[in-house]
Amino acid sequence: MEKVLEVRNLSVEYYKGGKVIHALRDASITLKRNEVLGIVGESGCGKSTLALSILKLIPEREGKIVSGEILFKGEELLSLSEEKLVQIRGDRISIIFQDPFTSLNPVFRIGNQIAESLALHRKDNLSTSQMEKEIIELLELVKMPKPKDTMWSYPHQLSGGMQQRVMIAIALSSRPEILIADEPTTALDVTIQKEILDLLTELKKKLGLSVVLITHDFGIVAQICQRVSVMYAGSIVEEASTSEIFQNPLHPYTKGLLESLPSRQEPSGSPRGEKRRLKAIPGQVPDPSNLPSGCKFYPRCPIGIEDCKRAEPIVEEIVKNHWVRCIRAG
Amino acid sequence: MWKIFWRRFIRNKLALFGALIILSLALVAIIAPHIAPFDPNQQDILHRLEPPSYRHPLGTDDLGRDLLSRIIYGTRVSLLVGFVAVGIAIIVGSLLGLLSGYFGGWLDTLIMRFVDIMLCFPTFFLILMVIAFLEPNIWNVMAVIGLTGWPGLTRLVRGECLSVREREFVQAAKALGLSNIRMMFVHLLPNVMAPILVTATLGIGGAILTESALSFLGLGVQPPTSSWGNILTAGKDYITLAWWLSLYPGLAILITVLAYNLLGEGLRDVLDPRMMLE
Amino acid sequence: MLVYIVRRLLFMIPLLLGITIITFVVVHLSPGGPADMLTGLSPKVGAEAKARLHSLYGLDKPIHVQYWLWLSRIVRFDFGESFKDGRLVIIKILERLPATLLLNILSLLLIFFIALPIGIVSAVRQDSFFDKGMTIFVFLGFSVPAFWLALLLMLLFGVVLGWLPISGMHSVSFPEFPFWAKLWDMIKHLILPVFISAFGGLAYLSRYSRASMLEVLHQDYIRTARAKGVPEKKVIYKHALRNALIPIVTLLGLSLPGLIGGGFIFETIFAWPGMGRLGYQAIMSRDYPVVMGVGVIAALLTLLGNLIADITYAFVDPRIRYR
Repeated sequence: MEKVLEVRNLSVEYYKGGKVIHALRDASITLKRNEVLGIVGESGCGKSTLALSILKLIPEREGKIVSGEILFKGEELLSLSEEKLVQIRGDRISIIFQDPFTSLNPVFRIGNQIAESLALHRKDNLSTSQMEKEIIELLELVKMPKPKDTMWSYPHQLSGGMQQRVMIAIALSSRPEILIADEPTTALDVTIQKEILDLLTELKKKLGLSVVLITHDFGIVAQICQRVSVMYAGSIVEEASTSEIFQNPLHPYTKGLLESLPSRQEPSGSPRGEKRRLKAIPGQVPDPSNLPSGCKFYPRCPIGIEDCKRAEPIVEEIVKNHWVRCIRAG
Repeated sequence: MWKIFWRRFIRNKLALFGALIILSLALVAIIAPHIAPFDPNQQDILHRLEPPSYRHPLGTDDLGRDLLSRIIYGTRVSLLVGFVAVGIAIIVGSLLGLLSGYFGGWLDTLIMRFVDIMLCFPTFFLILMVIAFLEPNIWNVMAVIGLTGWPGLTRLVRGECLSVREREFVQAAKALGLSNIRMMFVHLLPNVMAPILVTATLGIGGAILTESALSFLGLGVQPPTSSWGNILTAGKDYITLAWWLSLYPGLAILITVLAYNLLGEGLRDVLDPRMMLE
Repeated sequence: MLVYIVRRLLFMIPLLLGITIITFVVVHLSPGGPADMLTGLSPKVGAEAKARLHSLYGLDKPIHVQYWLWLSRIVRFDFGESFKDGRLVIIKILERLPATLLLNILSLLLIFFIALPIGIVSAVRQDSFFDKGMTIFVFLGFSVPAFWLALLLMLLFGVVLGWLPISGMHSVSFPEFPFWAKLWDMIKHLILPVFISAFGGLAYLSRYSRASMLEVLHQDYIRTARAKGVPEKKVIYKHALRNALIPIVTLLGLSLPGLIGGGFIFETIFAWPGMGRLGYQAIMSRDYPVVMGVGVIAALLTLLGNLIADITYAFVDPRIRYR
C-alpha cells in the first residue's frame, strides 16, 4: 500500500528557561493510504510535538526541528518555503486539536470560520449563496444538528461535541488527504467520545482519508486504529498492527501500559471478593531536559539489564511488520 | 523559597540596577549634610540665578541658594514621602483587602463599593481639594497620598485572597479550627505578599510623582524646605532666565522614579509564581 | 445585552451618591470650610452677603440636612453661585467644559493611534530591537513627571525655538483671523498640551496593548488559524488583533479619569481655559461652590467614561453580547 506520509528520524528541541528540552528524538512513523495510525503514549512523550511538527506549527521562538525528514507522498515538507507550506496546511493535510473550545476563535461566527477555510483552499471562487450551501453541507457531513441555525452561532454558544464537529468540518472543508487528530476526544464527555470517533471512521471511509490519531487511551486505539506506534520519551518504542500489539506486545513499556488498563485486569477469583490494586508502571516519565543515557525506559523496566544502560537500542523488526526498540524483545 | 528569589533577583539586571540606584539615593539622603557643599537654605542674593559654575555645579535659584545642595536635601523629602505614603496605602489597602477577600458577604460588597467610589474620583483632584483645605505640609501630603492610594491595592489583595482561599491548605487550616485572625495573617497574607511588594514598589514611584506635582503647584512641601517639585515652581517662574532650575530637579525625579519602576518590574518577574515551575 | 447595560446604569446610582457624599464631606469638614468662612476673617464679605450665604447653604442646620439640601439642588445641576464673582457655578463650568473635552478627546485619539500600533508591533516582533527600544521608551514614559516635561518642551519649543505658543487656547488677535488662520492657530496651541496630556497614557497603553497582543498570540485558536493555512499576516491582523482589541478598547474609556485628573495640572501650566484650571483656581481661592461643582462634574465624567468602557466591551466581545 502506498505510503502517504513518512516521518524519518525527526528530532525536535524546545528551549525554555535556558534549558534544552528534547521533545522528539529520532522519531519515525509511517502512514499508509486510507489507514488510521494511532500514536499512543503518556503525557509529555512528544506525541503532540510530532503532530505539530508535521505541519511545522511550532513557533520559532519556542522550538526547532533539528533533524529529520517528513515526506508527504514523496515530497519533503521541511525544506519547503513558508509560502508553499501555507498552501498545504488545511488543504492537503489538516489537523484538529484537543480542546475545541480554545481552538476556535471566540469572536467569529462558526460559519465564518468554515467559510474562511473554503475561501482559502477552493480554487473556484464561490459566491455567497454557494458558500452558504457548502457550509451547510459540511455541517451536515459532520452530523451537526440544525446546521442552518448553528452556522450563525459563536463558539461559546455550542457544546463541546458540537465544537469539535465544527473543527472537523473546517479541517475537512478542502477534502484533504491526511487528517491529523491530536487527542480529539480527550476534552469531551465519554458519551460524546464514541460519537466523534464513529464520525471519524465514517468520514474516513467516505472521503478516503488517511488519519494519524494521537491518544493516550488504548481503548480508542482498539476502536478505530489499524496500526499503532507507541511513543516513550520522544521516540517510538514499538510499532505494529493493532491486533498484533494487543495479542503480542513486545516492548516492556507497551506491556506495562496494556497491563495497567482496568479492563485487562483479571477479576478477583478470591472467594472473599478481595479487590485487586490497579497495576501501574513504577517510577516516572523521565525529564525531557535531563534524559538518562542508554535506553530511556531502563529505570522503570522490569527486565532491564546492564547492556540496556550502555546504548540506546535501535528499532528492529522482530516479527513481520512488528518493530520494537528493545534489546530484550523477542 | 526566599533563597530562590534572592538568586533570581541577583540575576535580574533590571531589578538590580534599580535597587542600586535606590540604595545610592538612600545613602545620599542619609549623609546629605556631609556631602552638600552649601546649606540648602542659605540665601545669597548677590549670586541669584547664576548658571552652573565651578562653585555652584548646578547653578543657583532665585534666592541665590545652591541648587545642588537643595537637590541633595530634596532626596530626603522624596524618599520619605514615598515610603510613608505607600506604607499607609499598603496597611489600609491590605487590611481591607484581606477582610474583604476572606470574609466575603456583605462586608466584601460594602468594601468593594467603597473602592469603586474612590476609584471614580480623579485622584489628583481629590488630593488637591483635601490639601488645599487642610494645610499644605509634608505630613498632610503623605497622609493624603496614602489615603487615596489604597483602593487599587485593596482590589488586588482581595483578588489574590479569593484565589488562595479556595486552595486546599486553607481549607485544611480552617478545618483545624484556626482563628480567623490567624488565618488571615499567617496563612493568607504571605501568599499575597508578592504582588503587594511589586505594587508597593511601583507605588513609591507614583507617590513621588504626585508629591512633586503638588509641591510644584505650591500645595505640597513648602519652601524653604526643598522638594524637587517646589524647586520646579521657581523653574517655571524663571523659565526664560534660568533653564537649570527647570532641568535638574526634574532629572532627579526622573531617575528616582525610573529606579523604582525598574525595581518594581524586576521584582514582578522575580516573584512571578509561574516561573516557579522551572 | 440590554440587561447588561441597564444593570450597569443602576450600578452607577450608588456610586453617584457616594461621590456626592465624599465631595460634600471633604469640603465641609475640613478646616477652612464654609462654616468657618462665615465666622472667619473675610472683610470683603459684608453682613448682607453673609446672611445670604447663611440661608443659602443652611449652614445653621445639621450636617445631614445640609447635605440633603445640597443634593437636591445638584440633581438639577444647581451648584449655586461662585463666591468669587457671584456667577452661576454651572455656567462657569459649562463655559470651560468644551475646552477640557477637546483636550481630552484629542489626547485619547493620539494615544490610541500611536500606542496601539507600537504595542502590537512590539508583541509581534517580541524581543526585537524595536520591542526593546519601545520598552525603554515606555519605562521612561512612566517615570517622567509630566509637568516637568511640559516645562522642558515649553522651554524648547516656546522659548528657545519660538515655534509654538506656550499658553492659552488662542492668540490675542484670534477673533480677527480668517478661518484657516484660526484653525492653524488653534492647532498650534493644541500641540503641546495634547502631547503632554497624552504622554503618560501613551506609555501605559502601548505596554498594555503589547501584553494583550502577546496573550492572544499564545492562544490555541491562533494555532488553529495557522493550521488552516491562513497566511501569517492575516493571522495577526485578522485573528489576533480582533481579540486583542477587546480589552484595549475598554481601557480607553477607563483612561478618561486619568486624563481629567491630569488636566488640573496641564491646564494650569499651559493656561488652558478648561475646567481643570477653573477647579484649581477655585481651590486656591477657596471658592467652595465652584470646587464642589467641578468635583462632582469631574467624577460624573469619570463614571461616564467607565460606562462607555463597559458598553463598548459588551459590544465588542460576542461572549458578552450573546449570552
